[in-house]
Amino acid sequence: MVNTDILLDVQNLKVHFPIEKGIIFKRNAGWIRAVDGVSFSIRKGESLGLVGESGCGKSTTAMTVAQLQASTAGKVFFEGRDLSLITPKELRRERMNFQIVFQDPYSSLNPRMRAGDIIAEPLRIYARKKIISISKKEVLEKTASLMDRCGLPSSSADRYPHEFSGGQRQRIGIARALSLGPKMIIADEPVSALDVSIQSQILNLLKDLQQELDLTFLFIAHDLAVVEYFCSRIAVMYLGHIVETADSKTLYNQPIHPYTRALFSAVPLSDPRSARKRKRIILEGDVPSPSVVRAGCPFMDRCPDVMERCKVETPTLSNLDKNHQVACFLYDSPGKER
Amino acid sequence: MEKPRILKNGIAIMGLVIILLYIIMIIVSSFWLPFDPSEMDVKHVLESPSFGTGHFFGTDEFGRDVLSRIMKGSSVSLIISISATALGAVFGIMMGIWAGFLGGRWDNFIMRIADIMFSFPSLLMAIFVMAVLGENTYNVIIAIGIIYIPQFARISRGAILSLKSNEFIRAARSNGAGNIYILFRHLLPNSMPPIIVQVSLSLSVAILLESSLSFLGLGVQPPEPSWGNMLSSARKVMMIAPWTAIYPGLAIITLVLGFNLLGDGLRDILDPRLRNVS
Amino acid sequence: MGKEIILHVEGLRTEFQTERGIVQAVNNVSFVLHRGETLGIVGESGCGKSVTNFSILKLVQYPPGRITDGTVLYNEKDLLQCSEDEIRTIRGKHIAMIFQDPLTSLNPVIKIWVQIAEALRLHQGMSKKDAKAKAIELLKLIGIPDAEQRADNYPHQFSGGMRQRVMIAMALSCNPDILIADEPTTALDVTIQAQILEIIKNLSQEHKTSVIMITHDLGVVAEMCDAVCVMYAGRIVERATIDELFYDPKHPYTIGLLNSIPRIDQDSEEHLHSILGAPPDLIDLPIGCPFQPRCTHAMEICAYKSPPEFSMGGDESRTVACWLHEKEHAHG
Repeated sequence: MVNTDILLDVQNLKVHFPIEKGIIFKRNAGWIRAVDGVSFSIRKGESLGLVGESGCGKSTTAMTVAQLQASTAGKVFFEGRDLSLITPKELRRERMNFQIVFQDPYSSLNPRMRAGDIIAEPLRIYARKKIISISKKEVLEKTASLMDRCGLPSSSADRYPHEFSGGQRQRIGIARALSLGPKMIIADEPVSALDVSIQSQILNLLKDLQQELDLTFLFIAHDLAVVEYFCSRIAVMYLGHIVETADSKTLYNQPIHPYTRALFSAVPLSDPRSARKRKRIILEGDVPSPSVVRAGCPFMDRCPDVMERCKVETPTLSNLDKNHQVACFLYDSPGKER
Repeated sequence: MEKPRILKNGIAIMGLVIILLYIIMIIVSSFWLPFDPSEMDVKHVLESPSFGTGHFFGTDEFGRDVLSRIMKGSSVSLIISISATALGAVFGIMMGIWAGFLGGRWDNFIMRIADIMFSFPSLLMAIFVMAVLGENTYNVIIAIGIIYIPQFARISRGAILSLKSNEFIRAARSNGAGNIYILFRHLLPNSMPPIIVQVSLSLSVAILLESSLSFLGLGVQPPEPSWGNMLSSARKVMMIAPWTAIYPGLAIITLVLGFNLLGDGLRDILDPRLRNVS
Repeated sequence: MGKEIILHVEGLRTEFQTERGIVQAVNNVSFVLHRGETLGIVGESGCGKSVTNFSILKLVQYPPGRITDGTVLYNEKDLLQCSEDEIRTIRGKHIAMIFQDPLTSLNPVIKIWVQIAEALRLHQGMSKKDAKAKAIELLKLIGIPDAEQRADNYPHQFSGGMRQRVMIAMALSCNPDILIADEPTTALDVTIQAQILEIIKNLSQEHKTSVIMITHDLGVVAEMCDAVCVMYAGRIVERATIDELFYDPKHPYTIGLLNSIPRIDQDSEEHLHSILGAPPDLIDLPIGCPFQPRCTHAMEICAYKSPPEFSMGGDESRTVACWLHEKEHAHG
């Protein structure tokens, strides 16, 4: 798979957390399989949305890709380099290329640092480590231009995070992520903590920045409408697995996997007439615990179309066409179309 | 220039004023005292407070001036309280940061030691340490300091742990920051508020512990005056000469109150969310 | 209208005393709720939608909160004038509430069925045995599998969605006239949200329960409500039936809000419309219309005079608090 267009390639990623029991003598009482064999790739300039409900492993996947969480198995290639094989020093240099925008605009900024210092911090760290060379004056200029670009008044550089509104704090977080000139932004639920009228401001800003700076996005969200608006391609996760991936239009118009179909039909529509017309698929029950090891499809106990085969075998992602993969036995044989 | 925030907080100012008064008293007492605090005067034994004799707070059973002894004792009490708190804070915070930052096995090991130390009532622990080390002023400092170590360890560990899960720590890591940088730039500054409050409360408890130890005869040894051993010797004559007990008692109460007020005020002041709010 | 009015809120004002000054959280709010109707109160955080509903049941903490004016008529009785004892029998029995966070609303050390039965025994004087049977019946009704066994569980053994269903079961245990749902699905995932909304919808239809649905999610409003009040900075800026609101919004804030949500059922354009700036600080509100600093249609009058609620075409249930619509009011 030598494709120069591919920026990020994730292969069979697994992240399992130990469940510890006991107070003084800790022993392992099992594993939480937060991410259990996830593969995807992102082309340059593309934005891939990772959607799913809480506990499906989307955030863990993002943090593992960002090398902030160790993986249990699998590989992450960034521009063709296996990030698990490089030295810590090389990794630090590589981090400049992928930066994170966090979910919570309150806890993602140090309350004791001024806005300007927060944005300049990455530059200062890399300058001190002699990875980039930048003068103090250039740092200030760069910070001012980043603040300006992200819609923050330059006079606010001396203010503390609590003096900003939620939307402005998120702008500070975005400016910080941009300071090192990354190629990819990992956005972990960047708008879910914001009010509706602020949400659209931030989404617009991110979209503008993507075009201007030719950024690639890994966009994590639980809000399907936001992902569908922002991303060109979507991967749907359930219980640590990707169950379906397609470009956003296809996925909305022809969802294939029973879970994707239920997920889309559960989204409240801001349109009362079509809301009254449509038939919703209401799923029974809850997402099972990721600590129980079981054979079969992860979705089998909530699936309306469950078959005998689903209870013994785990379906893998297979191509429906070039841009559409699904992990479901209903669509396994190539000849069988919907 | 903006007014320092401490001046906007009434409670903190009251505490600060009380502590300042004591500090002035210590400075004055180091070169001037109304009477020699250890000179006995058989002619003026147990004299009630009066302006005529110059014994404003009266005299004790050996005819020594109570005011002079309180003034002299204040420096002993304050030095013990400050040194013991510093001792406990330095070692405790180091342990707590070590445990909280590294986590895992280290955390378990350090915090179990702290738990064992915690399981002794503090006065009992102090008596035990004094019995081992012997009775003198320096050992009082060590005894109280040892009691404080687990308290500071627990508080600083808690602060570090709650901060560690913040996203700005993750953000710093994703920006290539190392452990030492994160510890000094992000974790320590944000964990200061609870530690500073603990310091001010520890200072007041140290005064009480020192007084208790001296009262029991294990602390500062007579004839050197301390508030605790003054109360101890006043016990025998308290009924006929209540001033021998009342004034040292008042001294303890007001200084402890001062530290507590300062601690309460600091808690509000150090909350960054209340800063620069117009 | 011919429909029976079950709750009539008139001129409600609630303020909070803070260190920085007085916050007018609810500022002259009036609305009516009909029997069997689902009324949505929608707005962004801090607009006063939750405080409005706490005020209805006198659940505002004093200090710092205080209801300074207004009447809340339920069965011709003003709830705000009721004594603590009177209001306590109304809460739970006649007007029930469910909250956003189902974990903190349940007592962690008491079994599920006991918590449901408590309300039944308190308000209906049931025996313990009857109450348990009724509690299990309610758990079945809201779709808890193995209700008999699960009734003996403690809250932590239930998932978030199941806990919210238990809250609904408790709220409905006494067949209340009114159910106040304060962001009932905000903490839940979409597929679970769909389950919960379905349950509320079915139950309100079956029992003719009126529902006040407080939410920030216009999608939830569109799915659930018959009528809507849009709140901004402590005031109702627009009230309308559900179709009027979505297909003929009048207030610039409502229009902006509707345009700023990404729509899953429409092709995404290059840019979302967005409202400039952020909601105002309730301590120093602008003198005129609270939305004026963010409004693209702001006129001279907006800066110094706050608009009253103009009714459209003389219809009391269709109002807009915006000077742009003063004429329609006059001609109507």
